[in-house]
Amino acid sequence: MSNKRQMLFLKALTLVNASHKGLILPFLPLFLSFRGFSSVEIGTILGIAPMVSIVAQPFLVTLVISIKRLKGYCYFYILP
Amino acid sequence: MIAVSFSIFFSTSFYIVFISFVAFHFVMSPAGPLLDSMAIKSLGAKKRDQYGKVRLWGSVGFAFTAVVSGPVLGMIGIHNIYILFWILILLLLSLTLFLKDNNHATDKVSLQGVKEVLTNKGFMVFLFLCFLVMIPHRMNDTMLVLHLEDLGATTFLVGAAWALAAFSEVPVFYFLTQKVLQFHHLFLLGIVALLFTIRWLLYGFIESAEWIVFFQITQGLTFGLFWLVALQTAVNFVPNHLRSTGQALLMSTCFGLGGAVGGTTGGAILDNFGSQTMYQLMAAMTFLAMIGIFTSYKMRQ
Repeated sequence: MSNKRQMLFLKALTLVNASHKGLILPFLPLFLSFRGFSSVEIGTILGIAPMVSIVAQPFLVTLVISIKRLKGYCYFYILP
Repeated sequence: MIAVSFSIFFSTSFYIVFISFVAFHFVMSPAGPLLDSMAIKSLGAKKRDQYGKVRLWGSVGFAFTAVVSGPVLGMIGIHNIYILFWILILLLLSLTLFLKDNNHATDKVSLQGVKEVLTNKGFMVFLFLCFLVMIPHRMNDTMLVLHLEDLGATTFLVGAAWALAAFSEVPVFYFLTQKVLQFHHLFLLGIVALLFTIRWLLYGFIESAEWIVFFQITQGLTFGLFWLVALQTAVNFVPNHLRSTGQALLMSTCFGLGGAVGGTTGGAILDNFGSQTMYQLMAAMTFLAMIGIFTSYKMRQ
C-alpha cells in the first residue's frame, strides 16, 4: 500500500477515533444523569477513568508494539 | 468493547458502570497515541512538520460529532446513545482493517527507556510545567457542562460549546505546525499559559452561557497550540529510540494525572464554592504556572 493511501487511512481513523470522543465527552454525563446517577457519581466515573489510563497506556502501548500488531489491537477492541 | 459498552449503557448500578468505564478507558485510551505515533512515523523525518494536517482531522471529527449528536439524540432520545456509539465502533473497526502496520520494533516503551527519559532533567521540567497548565484545562473539560447548566444552557448549547472548541483547533493545527518549530518551546508554553489565564478569567466573570460558548473559540489558541508545542517538544527532546516513551509520558501526565487532579479537585471546588470561583482559581493557578515557565525560560538562556 502506498504511503499516500496509508496517510489517508490514518486521517480517517483519527477522524473516527475523535468522533467517538465527540459523542462520549459531551453526552455521557447527560446520559448518566438521565439514568439517575448523582452528579458526584458522574464526577467520580468521569474523573477516575483518565487516572486508570495512566497505568493502562504505557503497558498497553508496549503490549501492542511488542506483538507488532496494531490490527491485533483492533480485535481486542470488540472482544472485552 | 461492545460487551463493556453494554454494562455502561444498561446498568443502573454505580459500581458496575464505574468498573465498566474504567475498562472502557483502558482499551480506548491508547488509540490516540498509537495513531499519533503511526502518523509521525509514516510521515518520516522530512515531513514531520505536516503532523498538524493529520491531527486536524481529529478536531473535525470531534466537532462534527458533537454538533450532529445533539439534534440526533434529541430525536431518538438520549437513552439510545448506544446506537450512535456502536455505529462509530464498527466504522473504526472496518477502517483499521485497511491500515498497514509499519514496523514499530525500533522504538518501544520499555521500563529501561522510561528510566532514561525520567532522568532527562530538561524534559522532566517541561513535563511538570505542562502538568501545571493542564490541571485547570482538565477541570474545564469535566466541569464546563455543569457550569453551563448552572447558567441555564440547553443541550444544543452544550454540544455547540464542544464543537466550537474543536473547530477552533483546525486552523491552529493547519497553519501553526511549522511555526512552532521556530521558537523555543518554553517561550511558547509561556504564551499558552498567558492565553489560558485570560480565557479562565473571562469564564470566571461572564455570567451568560451564550458568551462562554462563544469564547470556546479560544480553545484553538490555548489547547491547540499547547498540544502542538508539547508533542513536538516530546519528539525533539528525547532521543529517537525513546520517542514513544516520551509521548506516552506526555499523554499520561497531561491527560491522566492532570485529569485525575483536575477532575477531582475541580468537582470539590465547584461543590463548595461554585463554578465562578472555580474558574477564577483556575486563572490564578495558570498565572502562577506562567510565571514559573517564563522564569525557567530565562534561566535556560
